[in-house]
Amino acid sequence: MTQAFAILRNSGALIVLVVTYVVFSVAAPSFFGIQNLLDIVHVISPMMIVATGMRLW
Amino acid sequence: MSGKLDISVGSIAYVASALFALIMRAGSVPFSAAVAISIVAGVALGCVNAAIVVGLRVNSLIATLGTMIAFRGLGLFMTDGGLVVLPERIKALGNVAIGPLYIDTIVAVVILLAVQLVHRRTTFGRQLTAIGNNEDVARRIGIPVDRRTVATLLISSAFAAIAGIIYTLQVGVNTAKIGDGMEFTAVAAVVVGGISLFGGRGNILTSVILGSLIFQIIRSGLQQVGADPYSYRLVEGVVIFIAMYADALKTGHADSGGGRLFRKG
Repeated sequence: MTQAFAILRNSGALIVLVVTYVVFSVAAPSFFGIQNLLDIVHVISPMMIVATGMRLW
Repeated sequence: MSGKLDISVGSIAYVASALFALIMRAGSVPFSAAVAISIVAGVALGCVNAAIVVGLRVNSLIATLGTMIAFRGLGLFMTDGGLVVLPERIKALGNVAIGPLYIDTIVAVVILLAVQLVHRRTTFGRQLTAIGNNEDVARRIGIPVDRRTVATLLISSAFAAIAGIIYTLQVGVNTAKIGDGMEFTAVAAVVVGGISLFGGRGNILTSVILGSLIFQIIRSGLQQVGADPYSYRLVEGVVIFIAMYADALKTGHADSGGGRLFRKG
């Protein structure tokens, strides 16, 4: 149980990411696929850059 | 990492975007020069932030709240609050790809990797973490806290300007909505990804990638399942609240009304 909590604490964001992706892929089959994932990464590029700068300081 | 917040980055992105779009529309300056000028303008706005935070000793949150409003006003003044459409030949640059990856994705990843390297492998990065853990102690052991604060503010402004330019290239137009709320989503993304809002902890690389991906997957997923567009912000708000509260619980700030973030600069 303690080990499960430790995994959850250390990999919480990764688990949320995978679960969210799976849930939306089941709900909308067109969501699943490498091209959609590449488009998502394309869209978040500006936010990733801003977030990097913000968390540096 | 240093436990402070610059919430004017969205407005800096907007000003850089407006300047870039105006220069490109005028057509007399090459693309690379327009990019450089817009980034320098962003850094100049960062200098204003630095002067207020370090020079006048104003709390970073309050100082950048003021400049967030002022910088957006500057951008609106420059564009008359209207649209500035990029020329067609420049618009095309927003979707250029090398192999499966778009150029802007590559730029973002290179910036992330560079910052991660600086954070993990340099004295500068370790000093920022030390400042985030305890600014008073960092000052006592001889870390130049003010100089580090100025440096990080300027880097953050330069990144905001780059983000503004990339976003403008993606959509092909400068609008008054560019950068609006970007600062809060960015903070929320890194907290969701695992960096503490209270400074000193977390991995920039994984937290930025994971947090940003989670937010966009939620938004794209809701679009694909045909959810009401007005529900996106509601769902994102719930995610932000849960992440912030979990972070506060983990760092022991849940019962201190925001703790260190609001007590110190």
